[in-house]
Amino acid sequence: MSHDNKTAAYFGARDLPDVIDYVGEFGAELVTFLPFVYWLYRAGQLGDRKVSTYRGMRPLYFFLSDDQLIEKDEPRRFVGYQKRTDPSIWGFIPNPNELIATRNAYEAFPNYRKQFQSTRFSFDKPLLVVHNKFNREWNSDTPVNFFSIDQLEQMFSRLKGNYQIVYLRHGRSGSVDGYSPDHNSLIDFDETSVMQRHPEVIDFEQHHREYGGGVAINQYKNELYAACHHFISVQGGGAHQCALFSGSLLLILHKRGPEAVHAYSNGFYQYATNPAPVCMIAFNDRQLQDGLGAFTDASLCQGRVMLGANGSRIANDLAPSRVQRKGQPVFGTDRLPSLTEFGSQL
Amino acid sequence: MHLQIDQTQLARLAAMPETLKYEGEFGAELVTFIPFVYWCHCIGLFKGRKVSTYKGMRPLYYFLGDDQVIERDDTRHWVPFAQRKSPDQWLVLPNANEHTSVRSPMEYFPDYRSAFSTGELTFDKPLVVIHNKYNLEWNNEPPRNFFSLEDLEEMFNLLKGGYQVVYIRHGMGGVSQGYSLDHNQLMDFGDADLLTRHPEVLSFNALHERFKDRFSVNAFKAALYAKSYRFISVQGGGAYQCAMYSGSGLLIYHKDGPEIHHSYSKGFFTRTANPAPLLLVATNRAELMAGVQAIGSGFVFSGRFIPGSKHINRMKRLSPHRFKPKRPAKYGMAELPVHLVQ
Repeated sequence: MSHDNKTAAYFGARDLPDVIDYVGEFGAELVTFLPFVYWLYRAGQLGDRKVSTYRGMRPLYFFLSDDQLIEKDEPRRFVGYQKRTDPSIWGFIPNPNELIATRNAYEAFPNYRKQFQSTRFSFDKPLLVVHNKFNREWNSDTPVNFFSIDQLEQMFSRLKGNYQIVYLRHGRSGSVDGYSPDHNSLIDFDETSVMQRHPEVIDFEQHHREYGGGVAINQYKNELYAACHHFISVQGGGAHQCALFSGSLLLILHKRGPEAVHAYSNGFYQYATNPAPVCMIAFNDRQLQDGLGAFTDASLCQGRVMLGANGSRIANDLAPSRVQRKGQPVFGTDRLPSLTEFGSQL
Repeated sequence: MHLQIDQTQLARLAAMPETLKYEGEFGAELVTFIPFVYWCHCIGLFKGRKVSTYKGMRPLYYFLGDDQVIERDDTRHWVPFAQRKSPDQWLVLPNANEHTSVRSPMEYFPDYRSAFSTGELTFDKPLVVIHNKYNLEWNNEPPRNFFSLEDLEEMFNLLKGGYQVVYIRHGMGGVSQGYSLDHNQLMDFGDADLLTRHPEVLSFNALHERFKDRFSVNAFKAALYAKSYRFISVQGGGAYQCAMYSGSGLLIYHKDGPEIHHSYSKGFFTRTANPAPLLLVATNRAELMAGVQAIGSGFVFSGRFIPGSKHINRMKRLSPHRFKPKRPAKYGMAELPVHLVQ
């Protein structure tokens, strides 16, 4: 769709369906669909239209009224990039492919840090969120991007003195009440022993059950993230969500995935919030261990993490910009954006 | 806080004239008019349209074609906020008053650091840009916001050992050719003599002389700023321009002006670039020198200024968030946008 057609669609808003329906994974929704819907809302283009999303997403669409949001109670599924051509779904999204997305004049990212401010997560030490996953990935029978028990052990041992660590792995307690999970099958993973050795570490799901007082899990999670400026995450949609919280320090363990080519260094990780997070990308265990060192040398100033000299050296070594594209692009990244495409500017 | 666009605003957008004219001061143009024009350009709404601006502004509209920029050889003049009412000029802008402006879906700030990056300017040391002014302000009152010669002397001594300091005061070498000045009357100031005692400090005018065959004044200034992550400026439009360069540390010497109520802490200074500048606001000489030491510390990594760890508390003390309005709003602050949404 050309520029002009899109412009006409948005400003006449005639081509947009009455119900704007999202189909796909959680992470992609956060960084492609949601900023477009928020822009439509703020630009007065949403009108009486409704937005259809998955169960549990209500808090993230805080700007819509109850009658504008439909929550589908069905599992999410990955939509291949080549299939994101359906004009009634993907055709009108300015950045249908999150992996090649660039800053776009039709997108506005909500200020989630401000929106979800609360006093619920008040501790003596600064918060550190550790986000893990353990599930099948990309037609593989085995998980790829996850923190192992040993890595969690080292993380907790090194950082629990400086931080109040909150550990989060969706599905850890076996159920996924309150939201539609991504399609990837969860696999048994037992952190019980490491959590027992580190009782200072808070388990997110348990904390929600005990102290949540019935608050929706995504509301609770966003309030936690809004109170936190230090994140360690495995690659994926969980890391995407961390990148929406301004001024943070974000260490990502990335063993495999397409984000290293563009998204971390020039894509939405650099523009979804302001100030964009300081990102460190660890491709192996040694780099992950190095990255932990930056957290021992960080402080907070004017709502953003400030690194000390040692922390900055580490962050520089692990900067996403060090990644140079090698070989054939994969995961749909063969269509890297041009300067003018969709009105985007690199 | 952000603007939500209503049908009136959309109607004005639809009726936007073929030539969108800007009248007003330099700083306000940077943070109210240009982001709107750039947004229009990015979504295709500026096709077939032109801007009419002042002489010398072409580089800052780099995204438009030559036939889309008209440069008028007029003197700029300040337009009072109460007079920013013309529907085809001011009211088409989502934020007509820079001092009350909030994030708008119809604004998009150009990435000047990226647009003006060039290998033509190289220095042996990291840059610090010091931006001064010395002119009558607000109803022809004597200069208020300026670095005195004593301030400059101390700043140069603190910084010149570790940094390449570039000092800029428009009009220092007489009336500048090549761009339209703001209306404020320039006054004599002894900074040229001071610079002769600090030959390590480069005068912007002298530096531009070396490159004037290839860069206009504003193109050169934009390219120089794109090289710098450390800025020290007096209050005003010069400081606005510094704030458009991502990842910077920006120290502003603010004795008077409306920005303290909103712009520094919640307004355009928080969104002109990403990462927005790390802002320090000094209101007296002691704070200024503390800020200079903070700006003169630390290093730059991954496109952002990181102050030395010893200066973090100093940065916190000089944070713009410390100001609370103590008196009735002025300078148009009473004219809050009608469509504010929490």
